[in-house]
Amino acid sequence: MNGPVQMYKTRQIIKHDLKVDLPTCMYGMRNIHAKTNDLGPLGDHVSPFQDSADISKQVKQLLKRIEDLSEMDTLIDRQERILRQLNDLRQEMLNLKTNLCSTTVTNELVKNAVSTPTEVPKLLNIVINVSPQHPPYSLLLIKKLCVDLFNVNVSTHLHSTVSSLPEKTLTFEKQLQSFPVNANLPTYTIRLIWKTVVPSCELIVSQVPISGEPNVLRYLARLIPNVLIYETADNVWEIDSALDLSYSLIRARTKTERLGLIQSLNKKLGKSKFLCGHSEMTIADLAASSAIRQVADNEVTQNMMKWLQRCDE
Amino acid sequence: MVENNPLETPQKGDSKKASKKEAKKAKKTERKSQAEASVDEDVSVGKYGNFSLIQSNSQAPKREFHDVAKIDKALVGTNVWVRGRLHTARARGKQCFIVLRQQEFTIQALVNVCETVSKMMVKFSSNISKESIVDVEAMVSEVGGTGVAGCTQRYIELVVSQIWVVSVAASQLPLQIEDASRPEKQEDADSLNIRVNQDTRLDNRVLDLRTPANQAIFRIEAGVCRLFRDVLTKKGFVEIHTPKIIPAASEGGANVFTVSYFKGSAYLAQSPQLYKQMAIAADFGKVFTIGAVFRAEDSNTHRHLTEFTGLDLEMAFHYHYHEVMLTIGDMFNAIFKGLRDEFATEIDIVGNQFLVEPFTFLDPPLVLQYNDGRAMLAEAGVEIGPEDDLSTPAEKLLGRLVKAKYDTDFYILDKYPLAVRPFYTMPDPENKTLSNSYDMFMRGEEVTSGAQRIHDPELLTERAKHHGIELEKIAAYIDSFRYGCSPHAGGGIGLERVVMLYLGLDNIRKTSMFPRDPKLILVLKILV
Repeated sequence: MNGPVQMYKTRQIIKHDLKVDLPTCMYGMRNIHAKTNDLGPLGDHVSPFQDSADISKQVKQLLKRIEDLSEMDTLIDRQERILRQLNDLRQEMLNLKTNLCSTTVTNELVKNAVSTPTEVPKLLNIVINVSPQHPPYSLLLIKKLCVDLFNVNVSTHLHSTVSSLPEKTLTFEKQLQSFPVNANLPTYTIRLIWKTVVPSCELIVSQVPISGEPNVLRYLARLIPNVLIYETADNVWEIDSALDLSYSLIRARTKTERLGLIQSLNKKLGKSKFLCGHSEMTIADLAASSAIRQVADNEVTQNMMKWLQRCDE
Repeated sequence: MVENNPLETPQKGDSKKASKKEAKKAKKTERKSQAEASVDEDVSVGKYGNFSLIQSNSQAPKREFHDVAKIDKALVGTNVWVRGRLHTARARGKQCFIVLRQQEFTIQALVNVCETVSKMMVKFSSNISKESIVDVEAMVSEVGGTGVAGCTQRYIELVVSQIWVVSVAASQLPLQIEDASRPEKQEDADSLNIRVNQDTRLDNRVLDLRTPANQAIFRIEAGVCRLFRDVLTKKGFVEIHTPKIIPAASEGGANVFTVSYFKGSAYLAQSPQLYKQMAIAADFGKVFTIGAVFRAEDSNTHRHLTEFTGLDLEMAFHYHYHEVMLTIGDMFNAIFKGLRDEFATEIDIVGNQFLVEPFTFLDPPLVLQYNDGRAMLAEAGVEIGPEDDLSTPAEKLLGRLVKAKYDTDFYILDKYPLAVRPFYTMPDPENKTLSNSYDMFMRGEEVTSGAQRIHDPELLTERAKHHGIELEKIAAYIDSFRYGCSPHAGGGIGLERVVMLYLGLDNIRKTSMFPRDPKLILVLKILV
């Protein structure tokens, strides 16, 4: 209220400097708000900051003491090195960003890749050739598994050597397209080409194709280990043998051959929820369920029927 | 002829030699007399010879003819009339083997001395010059075993009872059809290595076109044209015809031919684009045109002609030019499917002469972004700048890469850099360096170039200024958009190129019936 002279004067209502007579019936306490001689950086504030000022003073003192130690130097070096590396990484990411095509879709991809590097894998430009007799049902399950992380857009093409698609393949295509698309998540495109290939499907990466659906799944599992369980599982050898069984199942010529393989898969399932005693779905389940749906839909046991339904959920 | 006296007795007492001589003489005369005797009793008179000039006589015979292609085992034992070219004739003793050719189909005909066929007739048959047109009456008969090698109708032959020459070919041919249709196998030491080179072929195009491969090529070309029409008509397109004599050079870039036009001069159309766009502005919605296109470019490559047939289309769309791009892609696929299903025989025949892999494609067609293409090239070690055009070798390499990865010979490359496109190309709304334009490739070579066109006169003026084009020259073009125009896109396709690349041939001159290139016209002036 003691502003410039141009302001009017008001009558004082509260007097701060009144002398208070403290009662003597109570025991006395030290005044914690009382001013000390060192105010610190936050000196003209009251209460809690006073304490923090004290702490900072202590830390300063501590630092002063250890400043002379050699450990400190190495620590500083290390921090600087890390900062430099981070900077390099950042520069690299920026370069990548400018290199990648600048349409909005891919920009979004890059942004997402930057913000959640651990979750989003690099799934660009995957081409899978599939024989029309053997639709890869595992893709449907993969789509389901990925639904919270990213959209898998499967675009299908018909190769000129194939004149028309069988009924079950057309239904499979429809199922693929019927998935809802979450616009907030990044989208990856897998190109599926219907083409006569042996056995059943092959993935084109470089010159040599990866053939067989189980092997394609192995490849995908290495790309997105957080979605498809394979090598992180504790009994990889079991999964591998289940994968090989699925591979043979697709190629099996006679019914007896198929029944034998299904029998072995059934053994692997046992009483557990999923194949090889797992409680979570692994790529063994993806490959086996897909193989069974492709060639031996009606030749499975009751137990496996239930497992197939579990896989679809 | 005067008959010799065979009874003349030899003089006795001569040397052995003389007696031998006499014996020979006697034999000779005997044979001669026999021959004359057979002339007298030629059983085939009136069954062979040169047919009188066909002038559409009122007494002309009415005969039903059979196509060589349709003669098969079902006709064994029946009598047929066939008109065809004498492909080859080969006499062997009392027989003469003739191969008759009708377009790309061939059949063996046998002239065999028998009760009704005289030796004279066999001799006459073997002396007919190659490439003459003959009428043959014959009985169809079956051939066992592996059949007749080298004929399309393998398991049957014709046993001739009459043979008439309708039109005689000169006995000296500038090129042999057999040579011209010999398969082009690269390393084959055993087979004959006689070739007819391209110039000789083009100098004698009429003969060259008679080869089975050429017959098939131009049937396929007709097929492409028909399929283009059918597919687009079904999609609701209207066929239009655009003028080929134009008052001013329409777009910059390609050179134009100047022709004298009464007191002034005019130009030959290098693209029907302006007229297609005017048809869109006039509310035809979807239009296409098939017609000659002229390019005065002095480029002597395997894929350039100065006059070619353009298949052009233009289409109004609602919100996105991909509507048009995918329509063109679908149209290509429909043409490829039509060729695959309807022209399998023709494609095989071409494949017999020019060994090429069959054409592959994907349905729906593969669409790649220009930048994806650049990335694929960069991976293979060829760097293309973000605003550079693809060079021809880069295009071919990209074609091979795409083929290796997707196993398709046809693909669409979308979103070309704005800088490499003509001024009327619509820029991309989200990235200033790109444009709404696309190229389509077959076997790694460009067959179509297209884009969304700017339909807004202000933007068009601005883009033209940016490209340094004089506004007066294109005032008419810009003005055609002043009264409102639907957004539209389109493209042009070179017919000869599509056929060449579909069949995997190495030269565009093979798919143009009478090709026009900067050099060839001088030669062809004499012929056509």
